[in-house]
Amino acid sequence: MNYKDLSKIEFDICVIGSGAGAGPVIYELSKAGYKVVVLEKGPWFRTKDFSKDELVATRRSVYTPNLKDEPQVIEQEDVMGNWKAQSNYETGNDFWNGNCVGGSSNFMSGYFSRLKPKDFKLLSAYGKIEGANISDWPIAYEDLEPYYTKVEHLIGVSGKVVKHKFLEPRSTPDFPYPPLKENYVSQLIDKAASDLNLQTIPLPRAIISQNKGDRNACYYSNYCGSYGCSSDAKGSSRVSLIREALKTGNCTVVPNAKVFYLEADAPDKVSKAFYYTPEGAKEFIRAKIFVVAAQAVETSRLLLMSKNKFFPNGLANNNGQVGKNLIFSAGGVGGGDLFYKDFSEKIAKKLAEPGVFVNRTLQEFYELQDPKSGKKMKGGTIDFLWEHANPVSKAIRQKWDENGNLLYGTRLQNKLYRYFNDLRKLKFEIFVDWLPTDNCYVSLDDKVKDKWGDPVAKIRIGHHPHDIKIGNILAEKAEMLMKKLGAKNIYSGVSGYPPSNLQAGGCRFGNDPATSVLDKNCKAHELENLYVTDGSFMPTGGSVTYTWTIYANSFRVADKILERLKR
Amino acid sequence: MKRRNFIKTLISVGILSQIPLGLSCSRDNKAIIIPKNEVLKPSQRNVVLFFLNKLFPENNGVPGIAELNTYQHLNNYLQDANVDIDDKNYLIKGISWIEESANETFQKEFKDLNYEQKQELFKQILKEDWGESWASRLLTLIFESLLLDPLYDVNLQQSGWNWLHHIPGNPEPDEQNHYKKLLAAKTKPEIITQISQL
Repeated sequence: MNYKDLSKIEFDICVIGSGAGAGPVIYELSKAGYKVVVLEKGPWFRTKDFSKDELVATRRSVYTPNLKDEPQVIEQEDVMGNWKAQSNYETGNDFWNGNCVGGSSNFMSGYFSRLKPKDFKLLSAYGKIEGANISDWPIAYEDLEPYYTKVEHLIGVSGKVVKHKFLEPRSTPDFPYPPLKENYVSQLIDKAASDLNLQTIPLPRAIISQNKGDRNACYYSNYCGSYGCSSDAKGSSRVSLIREALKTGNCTVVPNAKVFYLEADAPDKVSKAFYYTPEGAKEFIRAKIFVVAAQAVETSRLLLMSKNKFFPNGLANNNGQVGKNLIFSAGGVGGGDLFYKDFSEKIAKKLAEPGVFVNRTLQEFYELQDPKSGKKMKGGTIDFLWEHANPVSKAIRQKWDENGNLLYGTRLQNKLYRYFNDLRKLKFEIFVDWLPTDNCYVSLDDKVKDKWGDPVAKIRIGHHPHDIKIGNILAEKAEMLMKKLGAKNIYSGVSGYPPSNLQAGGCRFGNDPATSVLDKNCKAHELENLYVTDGSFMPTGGSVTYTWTIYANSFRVADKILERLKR
Repeated sequence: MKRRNFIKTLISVGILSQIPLGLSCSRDNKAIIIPKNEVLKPSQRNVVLFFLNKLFPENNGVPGIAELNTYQHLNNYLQDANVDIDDKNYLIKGISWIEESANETFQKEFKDLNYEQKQELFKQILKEDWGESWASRLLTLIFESLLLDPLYDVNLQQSGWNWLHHIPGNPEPDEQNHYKKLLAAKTKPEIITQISQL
């Protein structure tokens, strides 16, 4: 079969993208007997292609495009309050993630947390915040709960449910896979938390601890986040869903196919998806239903690029909402050094054990009380983790002395040796409920083009001061715990600069077609056969990473599409 | 015969390729392998090798740039089409700035400076913002040669890993999933309809 042959087929479903937002639709529709085609801009890397190669994983552009070919423009506020736009080809601020079959789910760390019931109604629960476009979701936690459970089984989530004051309601007593092995430091964290009258929780992971079908259990490689998994233990969309979809014979995957235009030849219907082949030729796919899941930034960009006489501002954008209210799963980071000399030889040896996980989180501060007003306000989550084992990245961080001067020669070598041998860095990551604002959105840049001559995404990355306020409260709590467990050189950084890999929003769902792009089933209000199933639909994001919710919602939407097709 | 002249002679008779050589600037270091497809000119190589050795000298138990094969790694970097051309030009531009500085400070070409003058120039350049930034870039390449997988002809005999007692991840890369092979996959036309194709 070649590209021309594909254009002669009318598929039931055309899915653009293949990550966590795409996989469930691909899986469910293929299993149900519908003809599904997947257009993925990156290659299909097989499991054997994944090794623990730092050059490939983090030092060169392999899983992401070369920024000269495919830049984005990042717009930031300077100290004078002016917005300055700059191509990330010049700055290196890369917002691309996982351009390959399975998307960034191949490279996630798989820290999986559900949203809480109140996260679905942030506005109702905590009230308006000036300058933030907070909106309740059109669905409730109860609508998503069965799908969170489905993800636990199909994607594979390991962990242990323990009771705590923010534990979300569950339809099953525990996770289907037992917790992964833990480093001794997890006990130290539990003890320090207990001494501070705090409760730590085992952090669930989208990594299977026991074999599942043709996927093998985690073998504790010590290189997880940013790396593809060599045992298929990590619940990527590629291994857990798309590979299964292929087995049905109903699924066609076209890697290295960059979609650049969705054609609507009627005011309410998409008819074709146009894409570039690796040779640069333009081809198209015809389908009855189109599902876009290209990750938040690129999904908005594709809709904005798909202008026509019915949609002069971009597909599904007659209300001007496409690209708006982009959000990130963010808050801050910090850490501290655990020096082996501060522990007994036996414990130091346990702390140095590679591979096994930390898997601890603090949700004690998921809700806070405003010290001024006394009102309840949304807090967040603190996850604990070891510094990544990536040696080159670790070494690079040792280049500078405490005054910011470049080190070299023996001084540098001594510092490197001590860093690699005398201590282990324990880190924490803070997740607040990043507020949607008028200063965080995606548009098309009017000057910078990609290698195909198409306008690139322009991403304004403003934040709300409230994010910083909550981040600082959580950082203080995390630092307190780090001190209690004996860490040295404790630090934290709370910033409004978003993590580029955890993006959502831009096509928020809602009941009001004037203020949302999608309806509650993630179908575009204005089009009868266009769905968006990546994180773009989220009006708010909770105070956790998004991936589990993206998977769960995509399964929910897949059911809605199936109901529709069966009618 | 001085070392730099010795090298010049070898190049002129075409026997330099892949021959381990001791270079003039590596007075306290082991032999460097000159890449067959060398990007830099010999005069540029002199500058780079001096700086590499000063930034990361071979010490007791610490592998130097010869054991790490840093110069080969730098050469690969300069030839890598996937690396941004501006980044590569920046590295080369830095060399010419150093050569200019040698002329301004000593009214001599870099190759004609004695060891003490080169040391002085090295320290002077690291005090400049541009010099520190350029040297920082070299250090990144040194760290890559220290800690990347020996598959890429760096970190020879795992000397970098052994020195820092670093435990590599499992599986290590091999020829099948080599960086260049994965890059090639990004332009491969492919339509997958069967699990047997994987």
